[in-house]
Amino acid sequence: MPAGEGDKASGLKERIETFVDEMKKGNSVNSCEIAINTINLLIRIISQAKFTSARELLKHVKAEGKYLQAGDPSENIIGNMIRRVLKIIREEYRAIIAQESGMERAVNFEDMSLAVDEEEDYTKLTPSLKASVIEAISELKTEIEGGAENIAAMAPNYIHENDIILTIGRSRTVEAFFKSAALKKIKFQVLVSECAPFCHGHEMAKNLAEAKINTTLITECQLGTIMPRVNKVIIGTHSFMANGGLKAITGTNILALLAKEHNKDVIVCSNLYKLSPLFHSTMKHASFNKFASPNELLDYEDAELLAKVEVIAPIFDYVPPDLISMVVSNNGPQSVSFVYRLVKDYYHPDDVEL
Amino acid sequence: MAPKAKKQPNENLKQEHVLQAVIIADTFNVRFGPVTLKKPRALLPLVNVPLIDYTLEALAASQVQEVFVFCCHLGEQIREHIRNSKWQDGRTSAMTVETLLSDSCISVGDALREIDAKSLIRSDFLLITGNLVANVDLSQVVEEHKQRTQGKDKSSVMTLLFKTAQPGHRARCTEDEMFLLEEGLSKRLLYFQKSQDQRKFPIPKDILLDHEDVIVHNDLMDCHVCVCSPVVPTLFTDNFDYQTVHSFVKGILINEEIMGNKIHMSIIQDKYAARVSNLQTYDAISKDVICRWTKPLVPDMFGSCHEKRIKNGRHNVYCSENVTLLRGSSLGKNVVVGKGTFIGSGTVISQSVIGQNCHIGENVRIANSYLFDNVVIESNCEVDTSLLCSGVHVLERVVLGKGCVLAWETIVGPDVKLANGTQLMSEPQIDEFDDLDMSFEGDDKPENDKSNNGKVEESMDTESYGAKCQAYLYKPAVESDDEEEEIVEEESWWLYAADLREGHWEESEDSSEERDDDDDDEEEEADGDGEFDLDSDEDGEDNVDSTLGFNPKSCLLKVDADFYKELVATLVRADSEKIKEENLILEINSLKHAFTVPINEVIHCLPCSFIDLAIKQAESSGSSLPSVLTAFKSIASQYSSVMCNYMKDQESQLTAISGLGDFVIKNEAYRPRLPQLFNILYDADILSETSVITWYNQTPSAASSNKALCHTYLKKLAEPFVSWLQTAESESSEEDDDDEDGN
Repeated sequence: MPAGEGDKASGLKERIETFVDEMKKGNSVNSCEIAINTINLLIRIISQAKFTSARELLKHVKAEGKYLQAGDPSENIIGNMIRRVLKIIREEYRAIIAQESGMERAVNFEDMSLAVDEEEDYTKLTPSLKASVIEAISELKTEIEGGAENIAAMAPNYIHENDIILTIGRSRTVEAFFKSAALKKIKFQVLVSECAPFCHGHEMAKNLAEAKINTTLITECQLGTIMPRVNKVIIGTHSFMANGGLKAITGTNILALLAKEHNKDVIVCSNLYKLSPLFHSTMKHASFNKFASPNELLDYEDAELLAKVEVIAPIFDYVPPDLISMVVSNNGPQSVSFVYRLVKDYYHPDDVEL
Repeated sequence: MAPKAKKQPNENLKQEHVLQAVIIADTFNVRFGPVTLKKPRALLPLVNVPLIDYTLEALAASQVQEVFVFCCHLGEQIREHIRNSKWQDGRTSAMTVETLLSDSCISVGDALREIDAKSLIRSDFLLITGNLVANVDLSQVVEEHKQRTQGKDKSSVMTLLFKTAQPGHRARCTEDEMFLLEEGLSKRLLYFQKSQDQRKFPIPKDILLDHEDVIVHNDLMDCHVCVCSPVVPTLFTDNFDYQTVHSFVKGILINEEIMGNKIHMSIIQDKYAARVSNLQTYDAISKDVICRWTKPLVPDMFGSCHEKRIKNGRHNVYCSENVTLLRGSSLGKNVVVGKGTFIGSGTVISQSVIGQNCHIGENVRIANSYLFDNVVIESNCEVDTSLLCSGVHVLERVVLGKGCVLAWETIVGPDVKLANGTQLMSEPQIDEFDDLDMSFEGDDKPENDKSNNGKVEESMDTESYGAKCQAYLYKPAVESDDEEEEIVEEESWWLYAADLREGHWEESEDSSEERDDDDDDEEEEADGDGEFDLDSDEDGEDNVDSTLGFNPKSCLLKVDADFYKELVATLVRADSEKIKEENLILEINSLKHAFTVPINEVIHCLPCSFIDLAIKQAESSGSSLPSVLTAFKSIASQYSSVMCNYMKDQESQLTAISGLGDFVIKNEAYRPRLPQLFNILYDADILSETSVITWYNQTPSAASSNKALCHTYLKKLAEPFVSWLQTAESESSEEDDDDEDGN
């Protein structure tokens, strides 16, 4: 059925185009959705790919992945998902080879020993690879979808009776985290910093209040005065870097600095798909930050100001790892200094550069 | 067209309406000077993306389903561009784009009439220009219009879109400055008047009487976006006087009571929409795009695609991936660099857009400038506030002054400095251009007297533009008075940009007025410098000098003061250094080219300048009138060959006489001495008696005009000489007769 296949191929191309276009326009805000969409696309790409060896598949996925990432170079999650899938392909390939040669436990040994066989060239014929890769990716998908719940389930360990907790902006993970604690009948108070000029904090405060949590909305400029009263800071993040540093919404850095000053814990709730093997200053890392339109901050019609003012409206802050106490991931709590080990577990060193 | 749209069931489709848009991809004027000779304006790159792509993207984002692009000047290029664009395959968007070509159209009105003839419009549609940059959702404006027409105001034919911008705003086009009255509740447009530097507007009394809530607007900028009812093209067909949307709006407002049609307005507050209508707005909107006001139409999101990814850094520095930046080069703030560009060491770039595959040498300074693709700038150049089109080659050590425009493939240098505001092109300006020009005239004002335009600069001026140049001066098509506004326009870009450089990008709200005032001051100063001061007041054109009986200012030929100053200086130098006459002629000629003054102006100035020389010589000996005259006499005989060279025929001699006339009008002391001056020139064989008599007998067409009065006044002054001449002539003719008799 060549005609049908052609249709399928063009259908996929169209999907990819729409995805890249959407990313370019920056329409989607939900990071989980981005991760799931990327994975869905990758499943399609792999299921339609024609390859004889794992090496070809890797190459193909890398090329397509590069294109997907180009839509929004600062959206790390796309790149993370691509790298995760690449890692899955490598693992599945090795598993199949190991099975064939009768060394069933080889995979685990390799993982344990850290001594990955670098001379592997992935050229052996493995007809069953596609099926097993797709199966493994589907598992990854379920893991991501259930991640927020896993994290929320850990909430009672971190939120205690009569706690005053500070958060900033809106994070679905953090929201679920608070709600889960509230369900356990823990009485605590949440202060939400509104995160101007986008004011995602308003929505967060509203949602929390609806869940019968004692919520107060504050502005950024109150952070300093409120910090001494706070027990701990719980925040979400856009993604986190290989050194444990955060790439989070603007305002987070000042929040973390204040928390450090007052010796308050900063707990980051984040699913592991947000873990990026990149560093803040990786050369090829196209652009760390995004910049918003100055529209929110300055009136365009004001001719005099417009001429004299340069508006810099970055969307993200980089928060250095030493300001963060702990990361609560879907795999359990992680120390920031241990993040490098997670990177090692989830990504293959050859895939760091797409 | 429709089937494409049917894939997506949306609100419009329920009403069986396809949202249509008409893009007029031609502006029917020459605001961009030499730049649009080879490429239509819609395809000029704005921050490295063709202008029309911004417009199409804005429409696609507003869920427009069907677009007609109407193009005239070089329309084939636009069609080709759209054919190769992502809109044509129809996969990535539900929008279909169709190009309509027409060579006969000379205005927006013609375009709409043609659209009406083809009956392409089925419902309310958007009428926009092909140079709109916007991130506003236009479909909402259409929706607003639709609700109005279906609701209480069925007679609304058009909704105009405006953006708030205080006076003096950089994106406000000085040509489009306007004054509006809006009815507050219904948002109905009551009165529309283009400002054109007027300070006072007559508001019809009944507007204020009939409406309770009237809002006066001077804070709006026209986006040139209008939502039109399907009846609009028909109205254009019915009335051939409607050339532009503005004339249409005015026509509708005036005929409101008879026809019952109304026009409404919509104001954008927070989103962006602006139109690139001239170089000044090109500059302003480029800056807005770079400063991300137009998000998502910004280089790293919109201009970036699979082949060329653009990185966005702090201070709005956008760099494509394969740009070569050598050590020591620096990109200041608000800079865009296209892919494949090479930038040499020590080069400093700020506030500029560099196109693709440009090559910039070492130690070059580029500020406030726009470089299209494939531009080569060699080492040690300076480019400030200039526009360099594709393929321009600037050789070593060239300094481009503010406001230079180098059109396609121009080569300049090495080792020259271009004056501010020089516009160069690679081919001589040809006369056929005029005909071609006609086709895109008359958008905002009908400019029909083009016949006297298109000055041909015959030879390449290697002296001014460098030894290896390939450059001809472009003269903006301005000769007659009613196009004076255009001159202002052409110049204001760099005036404006010069303000930017000084740190105050734009001045306060009334900056345009201030600037105008400044200009006036400058002019006045210049006049003073050139010893062209008049005794009478400068302010009013109608001022009548009591001693003369007419207003001297209006009848004097306007002379470039700098040129005159330089001419006198040259003569003084020639006199003191004893320069040979042939060389003096050469120097005067080169002055003529340097200041680009026409030949008759040179002739006009020549006698006066020699008198000035005489005055300077006589200064040493007390500068009394008689001594000046004797000095002038010796000078006239000394330089008779120079003057004769310029005053060969009768016409040029008449020009010289009028120059002399202007001189005595300005210098009261010399008025009684006019006959002597004539005599000196006559004796030196510079003026022939026939031309003096022809001048004397001339009668200007309008008897009572200032010119005529001036002429009679001069005639009265010159009478003694002419009568003497006539008697001498009759005597000599008698002698001739005698001679003949004798033979």
